[in-house]
Amino acid sequence: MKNTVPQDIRERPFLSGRPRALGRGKRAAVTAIVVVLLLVLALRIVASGAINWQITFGFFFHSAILDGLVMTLELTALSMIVGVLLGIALAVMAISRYPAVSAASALYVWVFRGTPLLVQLIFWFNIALVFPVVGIGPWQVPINSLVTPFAAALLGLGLNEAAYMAEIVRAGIKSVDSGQSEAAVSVGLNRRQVMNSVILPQALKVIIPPTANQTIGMLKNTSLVSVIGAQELLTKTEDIYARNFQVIELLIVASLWYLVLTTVASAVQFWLERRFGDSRAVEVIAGVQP
Amino acid sequence: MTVVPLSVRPAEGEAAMQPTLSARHIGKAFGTHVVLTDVSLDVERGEVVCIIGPSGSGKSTFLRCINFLEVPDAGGVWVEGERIGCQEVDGVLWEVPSAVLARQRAAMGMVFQRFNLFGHLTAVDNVALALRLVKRMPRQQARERALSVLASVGMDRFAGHRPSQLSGGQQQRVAIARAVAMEPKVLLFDEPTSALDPELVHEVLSVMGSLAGQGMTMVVVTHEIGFAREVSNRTVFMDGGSIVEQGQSAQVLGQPSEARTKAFLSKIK
Repeated sequence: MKNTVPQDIRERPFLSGRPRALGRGKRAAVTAIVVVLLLVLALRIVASGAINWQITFGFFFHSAILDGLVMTLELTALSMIVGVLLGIALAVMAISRYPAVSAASALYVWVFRGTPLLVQLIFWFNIALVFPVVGIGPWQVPINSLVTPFAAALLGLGLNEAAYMAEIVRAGIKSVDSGQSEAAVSVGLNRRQVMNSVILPQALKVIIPPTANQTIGMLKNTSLVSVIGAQELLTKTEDIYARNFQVIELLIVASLWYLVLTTVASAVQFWLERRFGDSRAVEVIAGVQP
Repeated sequence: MTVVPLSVRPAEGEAAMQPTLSARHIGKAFGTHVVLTDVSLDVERGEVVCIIGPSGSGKSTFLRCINFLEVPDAGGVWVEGERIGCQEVDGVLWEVPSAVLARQRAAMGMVFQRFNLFGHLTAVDNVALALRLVKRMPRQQARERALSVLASVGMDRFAGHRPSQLSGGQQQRVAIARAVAMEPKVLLFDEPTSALDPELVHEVLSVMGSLAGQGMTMVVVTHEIGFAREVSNRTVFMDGGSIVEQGQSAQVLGQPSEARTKAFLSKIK
């Protein structure tokens, strides 16, 4: 059967414009219900008087809070650097042709992914109980002078992150077609050159987006180190409310700052993923000149 | 299958003549599946040898054994008298250090069915990468050399293009340039036109033809009977993991003496 198209279809405007979406009325009703519910909730919270918003806003730019914020950013950045570098090393170890090396990598990932991060942090903080001093020969240092709360936090977060990054990097390496390394060895590149110049630059496309995700997670996970008093945002917040008992007001301060950090980080992630649609970005990051 | 000890060497007289490429008694099995049984092939300098045969005949595996992408289970490969991938110490055969194997591989160019261009690099960088990393050329010199080799395959206009911006035929020409730039003693082609749209086959074959005309030593696994007839000196027909028939291309392709060769040729014509 043939569909006949009216001859004058091109001259005639399409009906009277765009067709109307079905369910417009329903959509408005649902919107109204949600807005009303949120308003009621907000009103209850504000009007109850249980939260002193003056205190919340008063502490928002408090110097101790800002110090904590800087420490949170430092811990996030340094832990991610430790995590990424060690993660790459573990991923390369995982595909080693020496079984003992790949087994060591698997053991590391098993231990550090299989135990809670909080437990690991407390463990590093108390490492002096196991190894009171470290050193070689006559140079002996009491470990308590090395493992400050900051160092323990960095160890805990970084070593834990490395286990997750190892899996991410390994997936990235696996995503590169085996023909790439065959072509690379066929022109005489050695193992290290194949990895650094051919495989890792192409694996970045797969590695970058989940790494951005991990970084956002890390911003929030740093709050765990408050249990060892590492002076980051949550520790500082707790210090203040231990003195003035305005617990909720100060937790709101911390939460708003965490929201600011994760929102900015998500924007950066969005931008990164957009750029990585274009393979040129791989080259920029890998530092390969055209 | 007769297992040939790994220490088999070319006989004394043959070694003196020293063919550019000498593969002797190559055997290879994947698990219990025997892919190659006692395959030997000598290629003289400047000679072009085509290997034809049905899929699964072991011809690609044989090519991959030559530059040790697959490690042969038996037999050995010599390029200009140097044994590839192994060395004998006190009568025991050892793998060579990976740096030595890398140097040996650099002397053998390989062109793949699926091109395998480095996806993150432009055409000129694909060619220049090994010049810089393996031949230790300065960046600028490597780039100039890469451009001139690209020009020889007609791809200099696309030097700044990425593989994803090139057609299959163009990618394969860049891949040939990448192999040629290393000045290999022998070029190995693994079904270089099998992944191409029919209208793109010609441009790759003509590049290969001109390489042959310049005296490049080539081993070509192919289904292009026309190319084998016109360009190659010798054609080898493989089936079931061994060489069934070989000889002058015109003779093997025109008046094959083996029934299996006849049957294969009649199927693909």
